[in-house]
Amino acid sequence: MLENNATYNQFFDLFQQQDHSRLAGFDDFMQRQGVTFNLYKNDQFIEQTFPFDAIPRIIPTDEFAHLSRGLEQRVAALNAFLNDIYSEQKIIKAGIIPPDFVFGSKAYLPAFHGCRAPQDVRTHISGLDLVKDSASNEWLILEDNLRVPSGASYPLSIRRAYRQLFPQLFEKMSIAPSDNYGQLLSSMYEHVNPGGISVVLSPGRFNSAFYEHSYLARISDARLVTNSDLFVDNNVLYLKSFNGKRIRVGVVYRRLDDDFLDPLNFHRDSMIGVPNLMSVYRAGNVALLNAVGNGIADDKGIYYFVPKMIRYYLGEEPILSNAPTYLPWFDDDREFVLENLHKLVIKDVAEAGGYGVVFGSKLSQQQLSNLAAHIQAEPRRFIAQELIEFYDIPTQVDGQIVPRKSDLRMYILHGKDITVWAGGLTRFAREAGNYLVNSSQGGGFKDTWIMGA
Amino acid sequence: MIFNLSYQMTLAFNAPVRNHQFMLRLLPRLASGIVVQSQQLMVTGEHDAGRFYDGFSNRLICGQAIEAHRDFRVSYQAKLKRGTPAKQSSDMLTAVYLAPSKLTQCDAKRLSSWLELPSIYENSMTLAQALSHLVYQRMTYSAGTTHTEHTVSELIDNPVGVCQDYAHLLIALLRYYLIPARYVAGIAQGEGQSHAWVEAWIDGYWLGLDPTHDCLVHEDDPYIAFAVGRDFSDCPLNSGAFSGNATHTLTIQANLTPSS
Repeated sequence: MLENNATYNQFFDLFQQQDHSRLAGFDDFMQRQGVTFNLYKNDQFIEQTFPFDAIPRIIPTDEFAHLSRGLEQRVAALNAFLNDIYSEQKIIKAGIIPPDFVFGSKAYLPAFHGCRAPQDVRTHISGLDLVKDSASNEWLILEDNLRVPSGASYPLSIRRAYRQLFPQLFEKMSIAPSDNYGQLLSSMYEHVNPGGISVVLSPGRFNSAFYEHSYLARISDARLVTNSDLFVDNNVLYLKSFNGKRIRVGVVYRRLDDDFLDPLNFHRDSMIGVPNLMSVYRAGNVALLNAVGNGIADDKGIYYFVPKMIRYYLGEEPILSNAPTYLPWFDDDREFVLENLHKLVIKDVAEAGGYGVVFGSKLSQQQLSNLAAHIQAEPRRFIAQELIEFYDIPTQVDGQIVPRKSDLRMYILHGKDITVWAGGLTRFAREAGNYLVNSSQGGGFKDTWIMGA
Repeated sequence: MIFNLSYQMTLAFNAPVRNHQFMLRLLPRLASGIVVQSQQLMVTGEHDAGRFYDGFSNRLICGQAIEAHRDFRVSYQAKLKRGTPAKQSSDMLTAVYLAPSKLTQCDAKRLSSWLELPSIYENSMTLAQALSHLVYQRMTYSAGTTHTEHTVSELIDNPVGVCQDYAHLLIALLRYYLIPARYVAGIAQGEGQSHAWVEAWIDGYWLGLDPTHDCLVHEDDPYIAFAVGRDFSDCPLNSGAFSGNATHTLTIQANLTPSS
């Protein structure tokens, strides 16, 4: 079903009056700026542009206000959960989350139990994935990304091109500016900084998000570095500057996973980490964005418990709901899941990137019974969700405007306050009827326009 | 009971190295009920290394030896008192020691069909001892045959190894019976080098078990813990990274004796 609101009509009226030959300008812009997305496929390193569609996702003012309240609430609860899990573990003692779901997860890092994050902020940059359910007309949370959520640079940089190519749209429509993202980042750095400069730590230019790393460093007034620019001395992190001087570093917006951060504390053969970085962290002399060990909060098995976290830590009812989810680990849920396997979406909690998602409706009888056996053998490994008929939004494919499934990643920054950025990454599926919008599955992106008051 | 502990750990490089970053777990673990009466520690190149606790309450020495060196030495001498460990305030839940960990992970069915596991037992204490004895019987001690990443699954195929492997197998068995179990790295009398054993959470206390020597570890026994964790990978005594094209050999010479 196609999503619609009055603003879409306003957009299309204006859009039809525009010179469509200018649309080619987007591709030129992306080529020129090097807005690329790198992929590994069959062991081949492919640099490709991220397909862009000029028809934006449009979110009315009041809808964004509602979303903001819900996202702020959710991030506050997730941050409280992380602080709790790495200290008192009250939520487990209270019986709200079974210990298995925390301690059985590889993302939980007990070696950092008791290690406080500067200002008790752990969820500095969250990317929460939502879809709008066409049945209830409600936004639902599909996934919390609290480790290294990527993608903000795409809508940010394309917005600049959009304003240049189609200025009239921005004059006639009241679209909330999204260009404050860099400012939001740098004031967040300031709040958590124990002293020193801010850096964006990238694994290097072969990483799929290198364009983004350099872009974010530039707009947030941070230095773009790789591990060889940094070193640790006496529990302090330094940047080697060109004139041989050392400059103290207080904030590391790291764009690599925990596993690679420090070969002394994690994968010992990591060539992209900074040896002993974690001693600086333990001494409280650096803020790592996001904090180490956050993976336990965005684990697919923990997702189920987020509404309970909101009630437990904040004493509030969740403003935004999860997609209806079942945990085969619970006997009742398992029974339901096994009976309704053909209707459900099954996710393997061990995998990310969309490869571990199975639609029951697309499986043969044989495949269904294999999956059922898997679930019975290792119930903790799976979650099951009802298939959400989320909205299609109008999308241009080969010059035609057609409906395509789209999700939305919103970015929430947590410094002194929790702020939802008035922009977002809308991803759409390339093929009709496809529900998987991940860029690693070949999907494209759109800008997200939040309407101003 | 009071003990004298001394050790020297040496990393010998075959070529000079610089910018050597290290993280050591080589101090007695106070949370295990050890009281330090006096101690002296020397670390190569250390000016003011960081002292921290990791999440398992193990003590860490973090630092760097920047200048070129071929030897990295840690020497330690101490007079230590072992007493009853305080009943855990349980700030990290013991359930963390129930979940399968990287090196102890194995298929429960394989484990139970490989060993004749007791189905009737008096209590957890006797069960733990029986399991420790079973490990001692089924394993064959052989130095240098395994590497530090050896898993319990591999042990089932070939039950040969060193104290680390004995400990991992016992941990897997205890967890199979839902007894929280943890790996202990430290020094034991007569070993001359580092040793590994096991603790099982029974009736609110950590019971020490040494499957390599088929015995219990009582509080008066000459065992000094440096680190505990879910398995070996949580408690390496020495981790490091350096610049320079060199290989190294590690030796630990330790001496632990009861003090008169």
